[in-house]
Amino acid sequence: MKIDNFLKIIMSPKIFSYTLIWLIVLVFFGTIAQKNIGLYASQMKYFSSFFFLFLGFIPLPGGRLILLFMTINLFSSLFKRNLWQLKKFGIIIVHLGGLLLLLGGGLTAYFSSEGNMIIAEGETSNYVDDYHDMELVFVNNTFKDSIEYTVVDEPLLKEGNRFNLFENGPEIYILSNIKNVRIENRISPADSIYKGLLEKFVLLPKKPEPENTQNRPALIYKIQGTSNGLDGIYGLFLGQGLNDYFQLKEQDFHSEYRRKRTYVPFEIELIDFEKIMHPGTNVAKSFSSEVNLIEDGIPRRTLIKMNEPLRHKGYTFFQASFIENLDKETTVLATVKNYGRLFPYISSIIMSVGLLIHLLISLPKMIKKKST
Amino acid sequence: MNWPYYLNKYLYLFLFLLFAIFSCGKDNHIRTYRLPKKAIEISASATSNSDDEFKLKWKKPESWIEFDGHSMRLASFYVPYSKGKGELSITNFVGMSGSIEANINRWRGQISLAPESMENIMAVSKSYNGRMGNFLFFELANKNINQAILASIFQLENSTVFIKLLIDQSGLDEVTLEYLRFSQSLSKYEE
Repeated sequence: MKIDNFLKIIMSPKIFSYTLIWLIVLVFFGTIAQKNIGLYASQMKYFSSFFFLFLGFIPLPGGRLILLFMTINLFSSLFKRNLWQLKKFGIIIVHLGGLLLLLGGGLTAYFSSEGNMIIAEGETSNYVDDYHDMELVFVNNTFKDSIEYTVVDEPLLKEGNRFNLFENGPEIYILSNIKNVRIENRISPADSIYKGLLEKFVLLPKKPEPENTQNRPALIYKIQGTSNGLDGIYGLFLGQGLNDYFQLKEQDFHSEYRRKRTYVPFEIELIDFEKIMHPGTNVAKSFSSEVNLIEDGIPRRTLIKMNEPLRHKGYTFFQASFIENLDKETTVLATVKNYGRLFPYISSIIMSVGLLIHLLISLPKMIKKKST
Repeated sequence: MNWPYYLNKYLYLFLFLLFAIFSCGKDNHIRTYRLPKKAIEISASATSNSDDEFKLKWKKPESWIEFDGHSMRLASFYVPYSKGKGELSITNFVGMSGSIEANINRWRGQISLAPESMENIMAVSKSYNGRMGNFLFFELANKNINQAILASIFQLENSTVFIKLLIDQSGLDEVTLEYLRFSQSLSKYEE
C-alpha cells in the first residue's frame, strides 16, 4: 500500500509541471548570473549542481536534481495503467522521446569532455587540455625511452587534503588551491621550509576573473616524510615552465600543475594555419587549419574550417581560435567528446512523430466534436 | 492494452540504475601512465644555434628577439620589459674559464659593485636543476645606478656555459621568472 502511494506521488504529472517551472526559473537566474560570475561558474552553480545557496544561505535545488526528478517522473509515468491504450499511443511515444532527451543530457553531463587542442605549425599533438579542470603531475624522468606521469586529479587537490603519492611514499598535503594568482619576486630571503620556486617567488591570490580560462590557478603543497631533505612547501602555477626537480624513490621527478590532459588515440599535425581578415581591420573573417590526422602511422590530410569541424572516433575538433607568434602561428581547436551528441536529434524526431500520431488519432474525435 | 502492473519492478530497477550512475565518482584518483620520450621532445623542441661543434637548444619566451652579437657568443637576445630591454648572452668556454669568484666579481664590477668573497658569493647563489643538469643562479643588482645582472653558470664535464642578462634593476621583477625558465630549458643539441 505504501509502495502504491509512493508510486502515485512520483508518477504525478504535477511533479513534471513544477520541475519545468523551476527549470525556467533556473534558466532566468542562470542567464543573468553569467554577467557577474561568468558562463562556467553560472553553469556550475545553477545547472550542474544538485543544490545551490540562494543569497548565500538558502539551499535551493539545482538543475541536476530537478532533471533527475523529471527523469524519474517521466519514466514512472509510463507505468500508469490508463496510459497504455491505443488512443494514447502518440502520448507514449512523446514520453519516450522526452525520456531519451533527458537520458542523453545525463550522459553528456557525466561522460562528455571538452577542451582545447593547441598545435603550432609543424608540430603534432595527441592530447586535449580541459577548459576548467586541473591536475597535479609528478613527472618521472628517470627512464631512458619513456616518461612516467603520476597524475593527481582535481578533486584530490582541495585545501587540507592529504594523500600519499606512492605506497609508503611521502605525504602530499595541499595547503592552498588558488583560483587566480600573481607571481612576485620575494623581497626578503625565504624561510628554509620554502623550496623550489617559492625560494625566489611568492604566489599571491588575485581576484578571479569571471571567465575561468582567463585565470592562472596555482597550488601550494607540502611534501612531508622524505628522508633526503625534500620536506618543505612547494608552489606551482599554470604555465610555470620553471620546474621543481627532486628525487623520490631514488628517481628523478619534477612537478607540474597543468590543465587536465586527455589523450586521444591518434595524432594531429598542423601543416598550415590560414586566416583571412576583414579588409582594413584586425578582425578575422575566417580561419582554417590544414592538418594531418595520423593514425597507426598513416597520415590523412584534412581541412578544419569554421563551422566545418573534423569528426573522428567520437571526437569533434572545431576551429576555435589561434595564437599569433612572431615566427609561426598556432591553432586552437575546441575539442568535444560527447556520448550524448545524437540524443537531442533522435529524441526530437521521436517526439515530433509522437505528436503527429497523437494529432492523427485525436483528429476524428475533434472533427466529430466540432460538427456536433 | 493495459500495462501489466507486475512490471513495476522495472521501475525500481531503473531508479537503482539512475542512483548507480549518479553515484559514479568522476576522476578523483591518482593514476600513472608512461609515454615515449620522443613524443615529448617534439612538442618541446626549440632552436639550435652556433656553427661550432658544441650546440645548444632552448625554449625562449616569444617576446625575446635574437640578434647577432659578439662572435664569442653562442647566442644573443634582446629581452624586452615594460620600460626598455635587457641584453642576454650565452657563452661557452672549455674548462672553467676562471673561477666562479673571478667571473662573478668581474660582473659585479660591470655594475659598479665591490668584489665579494667566495663565501659571500656562494651564500646568495641558488642552485637549480635544468635539462642540462644543475646550474648556479646569481642575481646582482645595484639600485644606485639602476643596473642588474642575472647570471647562470652550468659546469659541464669539459666546459662551462654562462648565461648573462644585463638589464635595468627596475626590470628585474618582470623578467626573472622568464630568465629562469629559459636557463632551465637549455640543453645540448644532439642530432
